[in-house]
Amino acid sequence: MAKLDQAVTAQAIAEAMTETVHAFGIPFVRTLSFFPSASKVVVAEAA
Amino acid sequence: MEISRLLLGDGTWSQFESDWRVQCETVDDDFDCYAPAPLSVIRDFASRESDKDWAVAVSHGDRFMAAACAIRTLQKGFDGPVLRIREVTVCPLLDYGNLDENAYVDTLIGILNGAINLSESGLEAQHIKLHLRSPADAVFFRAFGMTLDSKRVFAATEAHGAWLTISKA
Repeated sequence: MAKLDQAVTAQAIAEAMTETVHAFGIPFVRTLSFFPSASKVVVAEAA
Repeated sequence: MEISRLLLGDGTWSQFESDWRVQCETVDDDFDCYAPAPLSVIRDFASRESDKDWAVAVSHGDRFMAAACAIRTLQKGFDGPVLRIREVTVCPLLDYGNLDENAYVDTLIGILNGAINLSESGLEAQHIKLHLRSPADAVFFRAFGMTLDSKRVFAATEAHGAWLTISKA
């Protein structure tokens, strides 16, 4: 299996993620499923 | 940030749990009630000495920023092994907004770069799949995937259904 240039891929991921977070904003990021409180908000709103 | 394996048998799970218990106390939460569903799965993975099913954590210094399950498998339709990342859960301090905005970006970058690093060493795979558990995940990672794809460092990056797939070649 060919090895990646991890410095290059890490830079690309960092740039793409930074651009995406800036486009969506932190309040949207906090609604991702990775954040346990995001599901609590959904449950609270549904109740 | 770096990604590492968590195991009950070597004390790394205990280090992780101790850190998150302290973080929970800081934000007035209880570790035993914090993200119980994903953390119970991750803990189960940490109990396995498997060479293909790992519990992993992304850390910055002594602080554990996120945890997840990493599964190396073969999957129909993919040439070569696939590394699936599931049950991604961020730390209490980040979840409760106690860290600055850079920590959000850095942690998301750490999760993805950590997955790439695992696929190069430890859980070698040709494709990396990140499980998207919610509609918000799908919207966000579809945009991220398109931006990453435009940088042309991977053969393909695509968000489809409940998965973001990064193919290395």
